[in-house]
This record gives sequence, structure tokens and C-alpha cells, in this order.
Amino acid sequence: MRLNIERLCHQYGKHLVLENLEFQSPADERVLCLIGPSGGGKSTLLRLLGGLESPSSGAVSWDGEEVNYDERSMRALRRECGFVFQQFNLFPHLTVEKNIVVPLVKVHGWSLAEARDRAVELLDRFGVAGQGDKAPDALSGGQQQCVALARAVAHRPKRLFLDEPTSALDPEMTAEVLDAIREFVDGGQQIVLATHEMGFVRALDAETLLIADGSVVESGSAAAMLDAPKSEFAQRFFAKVMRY
Amino acid sequence: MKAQVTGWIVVLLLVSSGCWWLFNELAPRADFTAISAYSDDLWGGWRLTLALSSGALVLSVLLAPVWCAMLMSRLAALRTFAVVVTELVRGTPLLVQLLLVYYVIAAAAGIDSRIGVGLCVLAGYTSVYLGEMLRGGILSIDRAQRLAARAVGFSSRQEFFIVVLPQALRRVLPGMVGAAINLVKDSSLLSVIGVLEFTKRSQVANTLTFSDFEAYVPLAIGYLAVTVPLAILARAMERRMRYAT
Repeated sequence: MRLNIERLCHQYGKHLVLENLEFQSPADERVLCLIGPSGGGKSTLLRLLGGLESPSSGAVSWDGEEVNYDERSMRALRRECGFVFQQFNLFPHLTVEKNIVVPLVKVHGWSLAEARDRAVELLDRFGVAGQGDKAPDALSGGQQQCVALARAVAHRPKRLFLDEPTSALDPEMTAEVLDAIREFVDGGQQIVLATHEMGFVRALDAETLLIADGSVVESGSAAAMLDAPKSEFAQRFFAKVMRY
Repeated sequence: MKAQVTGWIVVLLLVSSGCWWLFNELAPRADFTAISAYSDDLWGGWRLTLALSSGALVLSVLLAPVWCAMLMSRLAALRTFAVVVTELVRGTPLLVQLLLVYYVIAAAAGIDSRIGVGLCVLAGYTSVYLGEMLRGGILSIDRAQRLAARAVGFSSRQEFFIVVLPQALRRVLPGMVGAAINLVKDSSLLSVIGVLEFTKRSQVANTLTFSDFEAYVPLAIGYLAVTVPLAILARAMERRMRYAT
């Protein structure tokens, strides 16, 4: 994927979250990582890139095609994407299986039987086999996040947006979810990942954007950035997050 | 634990002494022969109360989403209208509304159906409460749920009907059953505009036969026969729908 962002601004009320954010991917990337302090604008950028919200001003284009931010086009864009959030955001009134099946049937026009087969296959793959009939809150946080991942990839999206998918998980579940993400990456899935897991970012060694105060402070390959940050802000940030 | 046991003992003592007094002092002196002449009347009154309550309930359930939609409308005029109506209805006693609508508005409009007016006022009154509850339920759904609905590709209509509304209904249903119980009891107020429902008929039978115990104990039991099953239903719903969000 080639991502181009020009003078992107976004504000909630009077609060300016993104301020003239600029970025051009140097090559055809498969994975993009967004890192940086909380409240810096990672989540907002992710939502704008996936068409969940429309920016106050500025332009985004994927593979040379500019994103239209009218309601219709945004919905079309969302349907090509999959999303996973920090707090799982499963639908609590639907069973685990229905969380996956209902969007497949109602949004993507799958038959019920196809959708069910797909759900069973994915639940099995993410280690939550046999939990399909339970309510989401009967599962552990890690299991819920696996279901959220399954829901996000069920329709075989072109691009996956992951918004701090492991921030609410314990270390063991974090490792399991990161393994699953790693598997997607190796399988060729396009991913935009916002995360605080610096070790994982380094291991992926993908194009990485350090975002703070609503703009891109530094970008480049992860290993290079982590080992030799150019800006003073980046040096201080990495020194702090890598201290322990 | 200790406080709970004490509480139960106190309650049991009160209830049993009440029952003892009722059945040993009053009941043996009760004589249903006089009032039994009116049993068909009373039975008819109970059925009218049941019919009025069911009719008003159906009407108010149909009206409630309309109020709710108006209260949440993007059009300021509709919203203001709905807010004003809601506050007027909630701010005045149902008794006053019945008198006002029947003797002033309906009279001026030349409408003389006691049952019709009573039914409409009762339904309108309850629907405003139901509409407010529905609005509260919809607003209580976490924004993250709406975000997730959009993220899986739902249209705004699907977002509302598949994600928001079912969760909102689960939250407000027990309260709505409570409102239905109130509606059954409030239907007794229709007696003031001369609707011959259960309470009115019991009062008439009481006046004609001078039997107090024999008229009013069955009256209370008659209402309980409707409201207790509703209360049991509400509890069952709460148990079924309990889940973390």
C-alpha cells in the first residue's frame, strides 16, 4: 500500500487533535506502524485512514486514489477494511459466533451457512474454538480480543486497522495476540497498527511513524528509528519507553 | 446477615398479625350475600379495567417511539415541542389531566365517549414516560458500540437496529414493565370521569350494600391478580438480561 497524507487536520470541538499532518510512504508498504505518546493523535489518524470519521480538512490517498469523505464512500471504504480496538468492542448482546456471523450476512451478503463455517474456522484458528455460543463477557480479555480479530478479518479485508490491540491485555495474552498479528503479516495482510509494543514494532521492522501533538515527528524503518532517533523528542521518548 | 434475619422476623410478625386481625376479627363478620348480587357488575368492571389497561398499553407502546424520536430529533422545533409536552404531562397529576381533557377539551370538541377519552389520556400519559425511558436507554449505549458498528460496515440504520436498540431495550424493559403496572393501577382514576371500571363498580356496590370489607378486599385482590404476574415477568426479564457491558 502507498499512503499519502496531505495537511491533515482534525478537531473535536475546539481541541485540535491532528495539525497539518503530512506523510508519504517511501515504498509499497505492507505494514505501517504508528507509535507515540497517548493522546498524540494515533487513534484519530487510524480512524480517519479507515474511514470511520471524516477529517476537518486535508487529504488522504491510498495507492494514488484519494479518499472521499462523504458518508457513502466512507461506508464503502470501511467494508474493505477490518478494525480492532483496544477495548475489543464486541457486541455484548450477541453471542461470540453472531458477532462474526451477523456482519458477514448483513454487510457482505454471505449466506448464513457460509458465515457460520467461516466463524467456526476462525474461532478455531484463534484458539477460542467451542466458545461460539457464549456471551462475549463470559470470555477472558485475551479471548475477546481474539474474537475481535476474527471478526475483523472474517470478510478477508484488504487492510486491517489495529488500534492498540494489546493495551488492555496481560503479557501472556499480549504475546498470543501479537503472534496472531505476526501470522497475518507473514500471510501478506496489509496492516496499519497503532501500538505501544516497541519490541514488536522493532521485530516487524516496517515503516513507522512517530506521532506526537498531532503531527509526524519522525518516520522511517523501525529499527533505524529506534536505534538512532534523529529528533530530540524521539530520543527522549524512546529513552523513556525503553527504560524498563 | 444478622440484620437480614432480624428484618425477616419483623416483616413476618407484622404480616402475620395483620393477617390474624384481618381473618379473625373482620373476615368472620364478612357477609358476601348482599354484595354477591353485584358480582356480575364487579366481574364486568374487572374485565373493563383489564381491557382499558391492555388497550392503553398497546397504544402507549406504539406512541412511545414517536415521542422518543421527537425528543432526539435533529429538528429543534420537534424537539422543543416534545420536551414541552413531556414536561406538561409529567408535571401534572393524571387525575387533573383526566378532568381537564374530559370536561374541558373533549366537551368543547363535542366528544362524549368517557371510555375513549379515558383510554387516550391514560395511553398518552404512559407513552410519555415510556418515550423518556427509551431515550435514556438509547443514550446510555456506549459510543464505542456505535464505533464498532460502523467499523464492521453497518449502515446507520443497521447500527441502530442491530446494535443500539436491542441493547437499549434490554436496559429499559424492566422499567417499562414497571410503567405497565402503574398503568393498570392508574386506570382506577378513570372512575372520576364516570367510566364504570373496576374501582367505580366496587364503590357503587359498596354504597348500595354498605359492605366495605366485602367490596374493597376483592377490589385490591382484583388489581393484584393483574399486577403481580407483571411484576414476576419483570423480575424474570431482569434475570435473563443481566450482563456486563
